[in-house]
Amino acid sequence: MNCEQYQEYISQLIDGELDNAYEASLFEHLGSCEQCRTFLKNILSLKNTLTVIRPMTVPASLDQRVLSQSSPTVRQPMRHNLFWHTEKAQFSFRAIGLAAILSVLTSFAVFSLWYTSHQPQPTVVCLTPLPEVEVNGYVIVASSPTKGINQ
Amino acid sequence: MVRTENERIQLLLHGDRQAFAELYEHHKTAIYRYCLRMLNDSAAAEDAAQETFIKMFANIRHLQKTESFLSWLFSIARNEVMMHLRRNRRNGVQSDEDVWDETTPYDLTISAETTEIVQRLLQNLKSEYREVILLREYEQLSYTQIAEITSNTESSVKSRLFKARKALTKRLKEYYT
Repeated sequence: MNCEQYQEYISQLIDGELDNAYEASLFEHLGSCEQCRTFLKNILSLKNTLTVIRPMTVPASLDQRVLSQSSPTVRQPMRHNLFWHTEKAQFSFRAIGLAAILSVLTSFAVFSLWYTSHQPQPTVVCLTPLPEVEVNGYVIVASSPTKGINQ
Repeated sequence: MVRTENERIQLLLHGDRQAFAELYEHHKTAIYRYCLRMLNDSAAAEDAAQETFIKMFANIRHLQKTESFLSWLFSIARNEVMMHLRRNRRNGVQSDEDVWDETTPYDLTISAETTEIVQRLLQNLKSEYREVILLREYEQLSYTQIAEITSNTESSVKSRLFKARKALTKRLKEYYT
């Protein structure tokens, strides 16, 4: 085991979280390693310094903001200083979204109309004259064989 | 009459505002201190702390075990802090191995008191290292609680604490020798 591992144990030791199984070997190592003893001394000093700077006073404004609300379930975030959080921006985003949807729908409709009107019409030309048909004594003669389906 | 924390939580579950005020009074310093040390901005810390207590009230019924209340409350505060940090995150690629944030605080060690230096060094630690130091050293939370709050393993908490302490003591070496 190297000093790096022992120093991690030292970090756990000062928190009272070191597994008992490692204590004996750590203390044995500390007895012979100047570098790890210095590390122990330094992190204890760091811990003491952090303890000194720990106290802090909560600003009265926070008390007021939390306790003075008629109902804490109503969320009233105080800082909406980003543009996209403003009502104006929200309205703009909705308007832009709606305009985009309308543009897409209009484009689709125009394209559909254009596409339909530019499709080639199916044309079947009768190459043989249509036969005369007699119905109730009348003879019907096809006058023009230009269009239609010859069945 | 002094109520226990468990009693306050039970009352809060029924919407008792007095219990809310007592829980707020009891935990406000720790939560505000954590938010301030993480965000280094008193206005942002106030916002985060306020949101934490409002969410505590709104979501108390989601608390699984009353004995985990403190970890649960810090988890809410942490989410608020992380939202603020993400919003303000600066661009730039950082190495995972690096303990320090972008600013190199070496020059801070000239002509300043140790406590001030430590505070400023803390501010320059990356958030994942800063939070474990704050939760351990200031709030005296156990590794298990820190792991719950940060959604990490205890092993990861141990490792981060060690790396953060090592980095801090390295910078402060001249003051301790």
